[in-house]
Amino acid sequence: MAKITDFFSNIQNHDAFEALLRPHVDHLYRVAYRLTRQPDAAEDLLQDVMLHFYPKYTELRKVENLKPWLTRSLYNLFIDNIRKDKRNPVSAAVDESVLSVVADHSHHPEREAEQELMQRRLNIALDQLNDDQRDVVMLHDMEGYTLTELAEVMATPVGTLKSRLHRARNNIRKALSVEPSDLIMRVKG
Amino acid sequence: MKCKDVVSQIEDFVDDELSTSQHDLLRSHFESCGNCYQSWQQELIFRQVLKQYPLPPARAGLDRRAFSKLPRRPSVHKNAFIAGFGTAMAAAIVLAIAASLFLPQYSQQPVANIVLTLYESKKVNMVFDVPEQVADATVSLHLPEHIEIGGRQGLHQIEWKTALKKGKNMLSLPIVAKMATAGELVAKIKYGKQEKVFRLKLDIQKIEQGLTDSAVINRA
Ligand SMILES: [Zn+2]
Repeated sequence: MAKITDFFSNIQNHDAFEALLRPHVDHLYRVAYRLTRQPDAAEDLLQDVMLHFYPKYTELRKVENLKPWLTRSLYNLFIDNIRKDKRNPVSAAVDESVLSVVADHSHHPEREAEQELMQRRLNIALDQLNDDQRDVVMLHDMEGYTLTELAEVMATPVGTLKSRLHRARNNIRKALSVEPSDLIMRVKG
Repeated sequence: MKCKDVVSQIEDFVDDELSTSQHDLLRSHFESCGNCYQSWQQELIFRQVLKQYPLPPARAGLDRRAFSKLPRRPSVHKNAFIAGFGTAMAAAIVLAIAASLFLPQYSQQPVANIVLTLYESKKVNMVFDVPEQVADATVSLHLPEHIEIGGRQGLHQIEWKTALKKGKNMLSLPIVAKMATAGELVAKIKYGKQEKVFRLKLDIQKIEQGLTDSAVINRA
C-alpha cells in the first residue's frame, strides 16, 4: 500500500535538508554558472542538484565535507543532462550580463568600454576552447579550485587536468593577443 | 639558467608547482634578466585577468529557488512545534477507511467512532482509495483544541501537499487527547476543484481498557 507522506518526518527532513544544503547554494551556483555560462541554465542545474540529493538526505548527513561531494554531483549532472545533449551547445550563447556586470561597477566610460572589450575577447577566447579545457580554466583559474580538488570533481587525473589547463591558457593568450601594457592598465585600473 | 628554460617554466612558477630549488633559480634569474622578469609579470597579469572574469550576482531569492524543484514542504498552521518530534507511540489502533475519493455523493457525516485513552498517543491509520494517480493533492487535518497531532502542544491543524498513488494510500496519524471530551477529526483531501471530507468521531476514555478497537469501513 502506498503511504501518504508521513508528514512529521517529511517536515523535519525537508527543513533539515534545506538547512544542510543552504550554505552550499552560493558556491554551487557559481560553479553551475561557470559551467553553463547562463543564469537560467545555472539555476536549473542547481535545482537539479538539490532534487538529486533530496531523497539521499540521510546519506548526505553523514558526509564530512560536503563541498567536493556536491560539486562533483553538480558536474556529473551537468555532463549528463546538459553537455551530452547536443541540442544545448553551452558555448553558442554567451551571457551578455557578464559584460554589463563590469559596466555597472564603473563610472568611467573609457575604462568601461575597455573592460567590456576585454571581456568580449575573453568570452570569445573561452568559446573557442574545447569543453574540457574551458571547464578546467573556469574552475581552476576563475573559481580557485585546486587541481587536486578538480581531479576528484571531474574524476580525471591531475596530470591530464594540468595539460588541459596549459593548453587552455595558451589558447586564451593567443586569442586575447593583447599587449602586456594594455593588460597592466586594465588590471590596475 | 637559459632564458628559454626559464620562460617554459613560468607557468609552473606562478602555479607554485616547482621544487623549492627550481623556484629559487627562477627567482634569482628574474632579478638579473629584464625580459624574463617581464614575461613573469605578464603571466601574473594574465592570471589576474582570468581571475577577474566576472560572474554576475545571482538574482535575488536564489536561496529559495534553489529548492523549488523539491516536493513541496508541508505547511503547519498556528504555533505548531515540529522539531524534535519522535515520541514513543502507545499501541496503535487501526482505523481503515477505504473510500472512493472522488464520489460526489460521499457523506459528510462521521464515518466511524474511535476511542482514545486520555493522554495516550494512538495512531489512526486512514486509507484513501484513489481511482487514479493524483500529483498534487492537499491534505488537511483538523482536530479540536484538546486533541493534538503527535502529542505536540498546539498542533491540531495541519495542511500539506502530497502525491497520491493509484489505489490505496495510507496516512498514519498519531493523536493524543488532553481532555476527556469527545471530539471530531476532520480530514480533507482536495484535488483540483474536488474535495472529500472524512469525519471521525473521537470518544475519550479516562482509564485504560483493552486496545482492541479496530474498525474497517469499506465504501469503495
Ligand atoms: Zn632571461
